[in-house]
Amino acid sequence: MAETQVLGWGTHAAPSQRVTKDTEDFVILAINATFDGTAAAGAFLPCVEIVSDAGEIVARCPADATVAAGSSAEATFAPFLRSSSTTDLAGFLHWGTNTDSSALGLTLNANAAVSVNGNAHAISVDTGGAANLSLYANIGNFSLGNFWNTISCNGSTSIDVVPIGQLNLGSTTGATAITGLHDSSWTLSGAAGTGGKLTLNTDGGVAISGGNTGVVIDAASHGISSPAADVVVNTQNGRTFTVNDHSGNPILVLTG
Amino acid sequence: MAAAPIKVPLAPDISCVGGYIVRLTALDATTGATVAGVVVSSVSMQVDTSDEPVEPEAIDVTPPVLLHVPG
Repeated sequence: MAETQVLGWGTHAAPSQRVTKDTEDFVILAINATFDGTAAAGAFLPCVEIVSDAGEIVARCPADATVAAGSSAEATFAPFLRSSSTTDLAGFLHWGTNTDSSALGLTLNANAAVSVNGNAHAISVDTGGAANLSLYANIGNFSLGNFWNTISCNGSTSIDVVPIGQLNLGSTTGATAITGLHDSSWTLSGAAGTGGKLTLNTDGGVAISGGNTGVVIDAASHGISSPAADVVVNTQNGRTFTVNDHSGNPILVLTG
Repeated sequence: MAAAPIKVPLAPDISCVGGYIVRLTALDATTGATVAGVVVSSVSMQVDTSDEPVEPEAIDVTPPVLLHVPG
């Protein structure tokens, strides 16, 4: 075997190529080159192509891991090399702690299911700043599930749940509670002008407790009315129905 | 930033004769198109130049020896 080193390629924007001279006949043993991606338009694969004298590509040998735009790589091409890297390199993921000090992103594209299993270890996703966090199920359902513990959702400003269809809040065994804290109130309302209606209907009855203010029913035009049927108040077991004046004195007492 | 070293398998035993091109390029992983703005430098290529055509085996053209058998 007679080996020769071929140098003098110079520095060129990719692609950088050398045309074999008519007097030459060789087999490539190895090529080493630096790919400077400082001004790269995007992530790239360092690659060696061998093109025949007829202009046909004989071999195309790209790296199997991309180099991020802005990063550089020194690539060694040689037969039978393993392409994986076991060192802590910018732009590569490896087992252990991956430290990204060069503003690299991470994109995972899959053609099948993606599964992340913490195996009894916590999984945290934190944007670490003002960036948004989006979880989006395009057509399929979006589920948050927790068998044994609480699901918490805390928004500093507000939490908006606005489905196109029906909004369901339900609890299998415990009560469904909506509580306004720190003197705040909560409101159930139907959209104005659309005939939205508030319905409270439970097997255990409906209880309205006004606290220190009492219960105020403020219907702008009809008061309490039943335009299509009589208004019926049922009292049971001898209980009375009493209407008081503003001072609390009974002005109407009906005994069942 | 220092260039990260990577290793790439290369197709072996391809004989490059006159007119063949050895090209170093940067490809887009999705489209295969050349990515602009990548600069290639410090290229070093080690080659084996002993890829000479194999000569055909010599044909034995020695004329046969005629034996004279006295009658």
